[in-house]
Amino acid sequence: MKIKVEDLTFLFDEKEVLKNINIEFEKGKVYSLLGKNGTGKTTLLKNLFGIYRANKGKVEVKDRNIHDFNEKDLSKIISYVPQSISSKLNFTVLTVVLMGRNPYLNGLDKLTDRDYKLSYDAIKIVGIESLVEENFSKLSGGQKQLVMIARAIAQDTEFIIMDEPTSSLDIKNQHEVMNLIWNISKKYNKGVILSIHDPLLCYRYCDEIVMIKDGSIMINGKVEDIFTEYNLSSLYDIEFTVVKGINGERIITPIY
Amino acid sequence: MSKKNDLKLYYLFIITIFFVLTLIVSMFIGRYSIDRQEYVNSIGNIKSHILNGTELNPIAMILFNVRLTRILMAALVGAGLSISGLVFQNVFKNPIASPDILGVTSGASFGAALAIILPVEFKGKIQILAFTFGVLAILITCFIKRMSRDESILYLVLSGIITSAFFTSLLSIMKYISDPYQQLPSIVFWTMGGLHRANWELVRNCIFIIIPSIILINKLDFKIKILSLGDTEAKSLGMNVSKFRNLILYLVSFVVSFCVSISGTIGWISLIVPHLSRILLGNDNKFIYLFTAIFGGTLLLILDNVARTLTTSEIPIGILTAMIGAPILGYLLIIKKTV
Repeated sequence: MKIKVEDLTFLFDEKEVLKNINIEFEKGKVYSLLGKNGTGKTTLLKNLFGIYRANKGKVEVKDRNIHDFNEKDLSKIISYVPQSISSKLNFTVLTVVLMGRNPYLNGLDKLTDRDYKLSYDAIKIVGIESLVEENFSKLSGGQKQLVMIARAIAQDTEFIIMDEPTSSLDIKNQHEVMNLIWNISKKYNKGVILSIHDPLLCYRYCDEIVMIKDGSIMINGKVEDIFTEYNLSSLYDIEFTVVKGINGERIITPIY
Repeated sequence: MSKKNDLKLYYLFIITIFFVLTLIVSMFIGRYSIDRQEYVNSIGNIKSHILNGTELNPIAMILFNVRLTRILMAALVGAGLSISGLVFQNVFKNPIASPDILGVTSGASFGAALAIILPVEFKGKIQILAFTFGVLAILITCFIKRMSRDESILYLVLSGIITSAFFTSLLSIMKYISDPYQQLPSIVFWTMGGLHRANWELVRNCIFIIIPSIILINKLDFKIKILSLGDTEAKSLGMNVSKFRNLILYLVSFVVSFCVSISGTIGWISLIVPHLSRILLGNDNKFIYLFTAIFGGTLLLILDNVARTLTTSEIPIGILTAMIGAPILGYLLIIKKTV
């Protein structure tokens, strides 16, 4: 199964935010969208699960336009982990994860034992068993991110869309979260599409990169092929240089 | 965890006991003093009235038709208003959202005033118009907020204030053009609130409208929580956001408008009670709706007892709720910093 974006153009206040985007996302891979602030990464993500409707072109999954799905059916295929998690209302971690089971509830149905089991499984996968009864709003940024990932796992979808999952995390948490995302993608064969600002994290934990500049795809492909000084320099309009790390990995760092 | 929850169940237990006690005590409070022997006689009289349909004696009639109906209505209206406030706060992700602040109450009050003035007569005139304008008010508030394209709490409150001001001015027009001997006093009654119209028919309506609404809202609790995450997240979790939000708002506005249509404007209860309930139980407690309902019922019942006995003539209850509601909100704002 693929998410297919065909010739997508999206206007916001009559300004072209996305121009003629053509790309396919497959299961089992981690994709990262790279680009400057305001180039349309979040807008593209929101087009992928039907929050925004393209002015031209379309997004397809299972060979159907995503806007032909109802919310319930689409949310069984694609889940979403938001960037800022700002619920002022205090829910327990368990409640937040259980919300991932909502697509499988009809009308006034109650949560079943299976819903609870899958939610607990998801909590175990991300390793936050000790937080189950904690108040979500009182958790640290890293813990919140893990809870949101657990919710996406409980939602049991083929694709997970994440808007800057590492933006509010310290360095250790950034690596832990990205490592977790990579593992989930491989172990459960899920496609993950995320936006990120740190090219290094992207290099280490993603399979493919989509570089977006001024609302268009500048270049996309496998990390090894795309991740070059030239591409990064033209993407961010700042010089980059490559250094070899201790284990022979490429470390790319900006020169400013 | 279990300890915490035990403590919270304990709160529910206490409030239930307190509610039952208040119900019983309220039966003994009233302007007409009744001695013990008369109470005992009346119980037998009321029993045979219910079972065999015999005539009530005057004392039993006061107890059964006046005090009991009023007590039940106070409890039910208090419960309905409090639950509505809780739902508003959750739906709008906003601890200050309440039917008063969002304009539903003033919309419904205007509807009731319009009904009083309109020369045409039809059944449930006041209820229908109060409901229509209550719902219209919340739609206008949501529309203004949407047009402002701002997600902040401030804009929601401002939109509510605009709507409220609009309907309040319409209400003033109604007062201005009304007949000062018949209609004006009735309109003034709505704006100050009071439960003195209580009778068994209204109590029956309350039971048929408020209790099922509370049960339904309780069942929708999980979905209301999801809605409170905001449109994008709720949609990504498989919710038809606008449809569900409208359903909830209609349901709650219906309850509020119904309460306004039988008891006039009783402010503050819908803001303060859910707030205190959430402080005591936490928002994610499965008993929160039940607790809020019982708490609201108890509080309004106590205030109504004060309203009907403190002075020789009755004090409009809306005055009392505002008198205790405003300081409590101030306390929460300044001392507890929880608003």
